[in-house]
Amino acid sequence: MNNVVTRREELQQLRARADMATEYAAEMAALRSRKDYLAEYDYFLDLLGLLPHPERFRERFKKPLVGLTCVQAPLELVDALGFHPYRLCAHASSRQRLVSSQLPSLACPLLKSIRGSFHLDESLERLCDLTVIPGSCDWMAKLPETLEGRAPGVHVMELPRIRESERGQRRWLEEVRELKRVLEKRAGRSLSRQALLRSLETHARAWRAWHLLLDARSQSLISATWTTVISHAFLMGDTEGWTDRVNRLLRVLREQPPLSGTRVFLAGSPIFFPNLKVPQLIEEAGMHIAGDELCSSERILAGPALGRDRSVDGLLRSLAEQYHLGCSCPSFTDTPRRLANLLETLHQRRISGVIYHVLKGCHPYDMDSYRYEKIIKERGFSFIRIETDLSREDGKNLLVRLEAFRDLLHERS
Amino acid sequence: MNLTRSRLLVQSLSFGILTYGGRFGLNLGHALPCLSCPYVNGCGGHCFLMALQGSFWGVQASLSALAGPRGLETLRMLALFILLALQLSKLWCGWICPFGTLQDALTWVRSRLGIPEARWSWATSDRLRWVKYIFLLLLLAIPLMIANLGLHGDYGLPFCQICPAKPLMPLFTGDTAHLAIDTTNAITTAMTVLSLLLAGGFLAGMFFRERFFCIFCPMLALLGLVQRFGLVRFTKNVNACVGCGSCARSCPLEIRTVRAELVKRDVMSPECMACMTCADSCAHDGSLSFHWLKWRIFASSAVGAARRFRKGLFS
Repeated sequence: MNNVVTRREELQQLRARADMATEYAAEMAALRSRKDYLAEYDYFLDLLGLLPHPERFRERFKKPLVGLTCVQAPLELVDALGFHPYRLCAHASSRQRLVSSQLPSLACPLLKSIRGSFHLDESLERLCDLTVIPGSCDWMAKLPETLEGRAPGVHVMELPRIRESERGQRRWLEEVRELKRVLEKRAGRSLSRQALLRSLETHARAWRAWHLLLDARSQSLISATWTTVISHAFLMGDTEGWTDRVNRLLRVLREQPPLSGTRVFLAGSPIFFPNLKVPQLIEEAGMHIAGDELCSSERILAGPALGRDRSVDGLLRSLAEQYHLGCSCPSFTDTPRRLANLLETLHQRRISGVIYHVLKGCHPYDMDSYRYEKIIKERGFSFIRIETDLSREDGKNLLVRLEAFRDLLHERS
Repeated sequence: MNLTRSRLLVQSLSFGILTYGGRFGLNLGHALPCLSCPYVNGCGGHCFLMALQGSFWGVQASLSALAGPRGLETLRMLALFILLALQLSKLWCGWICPFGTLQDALTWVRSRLGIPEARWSWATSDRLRWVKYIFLLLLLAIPLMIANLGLHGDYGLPFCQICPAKPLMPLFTGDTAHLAIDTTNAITTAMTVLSLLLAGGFLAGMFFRERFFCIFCPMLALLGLVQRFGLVRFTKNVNACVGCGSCARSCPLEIRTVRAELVKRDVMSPECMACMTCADSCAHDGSLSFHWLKWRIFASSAVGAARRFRKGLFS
C-alpha cells in the first residue's frame, strides 16, 4: 500500500514539475513576443527562468539561501550575513494545484502557491537553509504550521499590527534582533558593522535605480508588466548586478517613444510572476499603469534606512523602523497614510482612475477596498474593483470590464 | 545641495567667529540667540542669556529703573535678540551655536567608534523636555529674588554659573581657569562644584547622546517662544509622507511629532533646532521642507536621500 502511495506521489511530483515548466515557459514566450520587448529584459527573464530549475540557480549563486515571504524582514540583514535572500512569493497555478486538497478552497492563492512550492521535493524553496516568515496576515501566520517539516528551517517573526505605539515598535526591533541572532547562528559568525553598512549602501543604490525605473513608468516609457518582471527578478539575482542592469535599461528607455494608454493606478493585492494576467489585461484594454502600491512592485524595496546611530544596534533599529513603519500593508491596524499616499500619487502623476485588484482570499485588501472605493470616488476619481485568482478563465470577462472602465475614463476626461 | 557639507561649513565658520572673533576686533554684541559663551576670552559675541539674567538683576525689577538708561539698555538688547531670533529662528541652534557644534563633534567621535547611542523611553523624553522651561524660569526668577527678596548676590547669573559651556568652551582658547573651585564663600564653592559636576555629567551625556544638552537648553526654550513669528518655516506635505520614521531617527532630539503629524502643515515643534537633518534623510520628494519667508531653503528628495548613501554617509 505504501509503495502505491509513494508511486502516486512521485507521479504527482513529476506532473507538477512538467506543468510548472510549461507554465513558466508559456509566460516567458508571451513576454518575449510582446511589441515592447527589448533585449535588455533578457537578463531579468533569464533570472526568472531559473525558478523551475533550482540546480541551475545553485550553480549560479553559491551562497546559502534564505527564503522570505512578504516585505517586512530586512533584506540588508540577510545579505550582510552572507546569505542570498530569496523571495518565496509566486503566482504559479501549477504549484497551487499541488496543495488544493490540503488547504481551504478560498485560501489566498499566493499562500497556496508558496505552500505548493514546498510540496515539490526539488524546489528552490526546499533548498532554502532558512525560511523567514513575518506573520503579516492570517494566512502567513498559519503558513509555518502547514509546512509540516517540509522546510529545513523556519523562523517566524511576530509582526506587531499596531505601529504607532512605542510598545509595537520595540517589539518589532526585538524581532529584528532575534532574526540577527538566528542568522548569526546559521552563518557561524557575528554580524559586522562594515558588512551591514555595505549591504545598506548596496540596497540604497538598488532602491535608487528602482525609483528611477518607476519614474520612467510614470512617464510611460516602460509598461507595468515589465516592471513587475524586473521587481520579481530583484531577489533572484545579486543585488549589484540587478541594479547595474536596471541602470542600463534606464539609458535605453530614455530613447524610446512613450507608450500610449489611459493612465491608471493599480492598488490592492500583489501580482507575481508567472501570472501577470492583471497588468497584461489592463494594458490590452488600452490603459497604462502609471503608479501602484503593490508589495510586489513599488514596495519591493523599503527605501534607504537612514538614521544617525551608526552602531550595529542603531543600524538594526533603522532597518526595523524602515521595514515596519514605512510599510503600507493592509494587515496593519493603523494605515492612515496608505490612502493619503495613494491620493497624492494620483495628483502628482495626473492619474484619473484606480483599479483595485483583489486576489480571491486576500482578506485585508478585500476589506479595505470598500472604504477606498467610497473615498476615492468622493474625491472625484474613477474606481473599479476587480476580483480574480490565478486561473486564466476569467480573462475575457475582466477585459470587457476593464475596457468599459477605460471608456468611462475617456468620457470623464 | 549637500546639506551635511553646507552645515559643517557654516558650523565651522560660526565656531571660529564666535570663539575667536574678538581677537580680531569682531564684536557681534550681547544679544546672540545661541550659546556663545561670554567667559571665552576674545569671543566674537555674547549669549543673550547672560544679558537676560544680568539685566533683570541690575534693573532690580523696579519701574523707575526700567524707565532709566539701564532699563532702556535692557529693552534694546531684548529687541535686538527678538530681531535676530525672528530672522533665523532655530537656525541659530542647528547651524550657528558653537556649543551645539561641540556636541556634534562629540557625536561624530562616538559614531566613528561604533558606540551605540544612549536611548530612553518616549515617556522619559516627554518629561525631560520640560526641564529647559524650568531652567528658563529659574534664570529669570533668581535675579528677581536677589533684587527683591534679599537672596545673596553670589547667586547672580545663576544659569551662567552652572552652564556646562562655562568651563568647557574657554578650553578652546587654552583657558583652564573655570575648572577651578572658587572657595571665596560657601555659595561660590557650592556653585562652582555644581558647575563642574554638571559639566562632567553633560560631557558624558553629550558623548553618549546627540545634542544631549539641547534637551535642557533654556535658549532653545526661549527661541521656541518666538518661533511662531519667525521667518523660518518648517512644513510637511502630510500626504506624501509614508511614515517610515527616517525623520525621527535622524533628528538629534528624536522629535516624533513630525512623523506623527497627519493633518497640520506647520511641523516645527518647540524642540526643533532646524538642523534640517530630518528633511535630508527623508526619501520622499517634497515631503519635508524648510523655507525662509517664501523662499525654499531645503526640501527632502529621493535623490538627496540616495546621495547620502552614495557619498559614504555611513562609511
